Amino acid sequence: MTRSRGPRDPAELRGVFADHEVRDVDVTGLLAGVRDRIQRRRARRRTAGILAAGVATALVAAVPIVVSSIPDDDHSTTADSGTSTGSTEPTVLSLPTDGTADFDPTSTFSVGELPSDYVVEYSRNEPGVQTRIYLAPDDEQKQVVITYFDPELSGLPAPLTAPDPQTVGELEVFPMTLDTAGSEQYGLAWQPEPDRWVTVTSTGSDEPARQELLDLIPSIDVGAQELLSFPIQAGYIPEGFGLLAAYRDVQADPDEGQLRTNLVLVDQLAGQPPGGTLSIFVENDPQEPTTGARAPTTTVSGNPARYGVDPDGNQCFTVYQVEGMSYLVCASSELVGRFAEDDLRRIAAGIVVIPGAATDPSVWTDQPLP
Amino acid sequence: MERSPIAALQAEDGRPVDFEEFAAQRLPSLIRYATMLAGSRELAEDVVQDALVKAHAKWARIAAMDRPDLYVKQIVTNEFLSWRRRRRISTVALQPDIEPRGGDRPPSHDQTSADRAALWAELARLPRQQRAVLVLRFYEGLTDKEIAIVLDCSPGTVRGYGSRALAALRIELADWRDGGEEDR
Repeated sequence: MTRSRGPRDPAELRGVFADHEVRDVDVTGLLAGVRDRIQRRRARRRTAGILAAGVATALVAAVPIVVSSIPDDDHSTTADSGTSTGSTEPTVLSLPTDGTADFDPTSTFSVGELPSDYVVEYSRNEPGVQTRIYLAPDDEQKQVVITYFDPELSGLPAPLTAPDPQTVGELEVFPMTLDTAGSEQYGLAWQPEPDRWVTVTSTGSDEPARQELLDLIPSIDVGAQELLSFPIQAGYIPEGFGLLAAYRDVQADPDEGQLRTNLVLVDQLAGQPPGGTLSIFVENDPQEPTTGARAPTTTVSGNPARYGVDPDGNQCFTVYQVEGMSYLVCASSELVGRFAEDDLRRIAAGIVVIPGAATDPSVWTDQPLP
Repeated sequence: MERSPIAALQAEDGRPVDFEEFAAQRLPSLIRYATMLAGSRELAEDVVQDALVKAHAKWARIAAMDRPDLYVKQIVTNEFLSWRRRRRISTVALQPDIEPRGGDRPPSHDQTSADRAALWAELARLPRQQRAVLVLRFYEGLTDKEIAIVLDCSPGTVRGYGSRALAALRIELADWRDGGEEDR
């Protein structure tokens, strides 16, 4: 901004802060919100659901996932049974063969051996964008974020890049101009093909972060899509509904919960845009649902459960304490009239958590839908 | 795990602090701080609540620290710094949504008000680390050493962020240390 006046005095800065100081803080309400988040850990579900709903586009109709039926003799825990049985061989997932397969919600780009000891924190697939976040062990503040996206399909802006690209293999890699320029964050971007971008960002000071990312780039292959695995399976999905977006999260800190996953579905027969999402969310939840918004109103096979409509009109059915997990099924407000409590109950009762999935991602399945 | 450098600071009273008690006491100041960082009260409330959820999960460790307040401030700051990065890659600048309070302050001349509005808008366009340094120094009154702990960087880096931010805002300060207390 161009200004005509001279240099400012530091007192002006203090004055501006004083001008904008918040005085009326609702401590009781905010504390209630904190308690609610602690108990329910629903913040990530909301974010995932809202994001997915917000980006539901014409792409949906081009994601015709065809999955064969879920094993019915499976060694798993469900809200319905709460018991374990035997398992069968996973069935084959049919993927679309057109260009949109790059952004299929059940597959993601391949990343080979990482140069340092990073572990994947979460993977998220939304229409036109795939994201993985890697977390540095023993340094919870340090992350490497890899994003593969199509700006038009995803609605994300193309990255701002600086000139002077560097060649890595056959790639022309540009430094990113981040809005945190001058801070300890660094990013690189390249185009694997026209209209597609890959960005990698890392926390850390420029030179180490730059070198770390340059070392990482050869292991990223967006052309080699691999099936994404999930810690859950859904036993029942309403006819016509298919996967729009998916998210799964592994937390190394047991205090944070060890798994969290969200499947976002839309009615693929509803036309474009489809309007409304059906969300299936599962997470570790050791808290007992005794009071307030978590208070059970019913049961599912002996497990406490709750049905309700939130102030935004979203219908949600929750089953608590299924082997230490909470299952949540929500139909967004746009789907009002499509589902009754019993429909959501049936979906929730059919959710299956793979045995051992909370501690061992190797047992996860690439067959999340029936 | 290596002990946080925050633990090297002097304790205020040394007794274990209950999370609920801590949160109730510190929420107003954390919200005020986060609002200055984010330029948005709504975002500030979200950031602080998420930060307190994280603090709660590690409270046994945090309560044993000499300065749990600074550690929680660090969590709040990191939540703010990583807010959009976790949700989407974006280069959109912060959009401040809180109006100047006025309130019990004496009325300003129009030119002064315009200048302050311009300064607030320019603050919102600063890189987040730089903005955080200014808020921590000029609003929170922290020393370089304390700011360095909150931002997990060196005091020299703090001074670098600060001097660049002041230059961008054309604020004259002969010595960066004049902006706050002497380092303890």
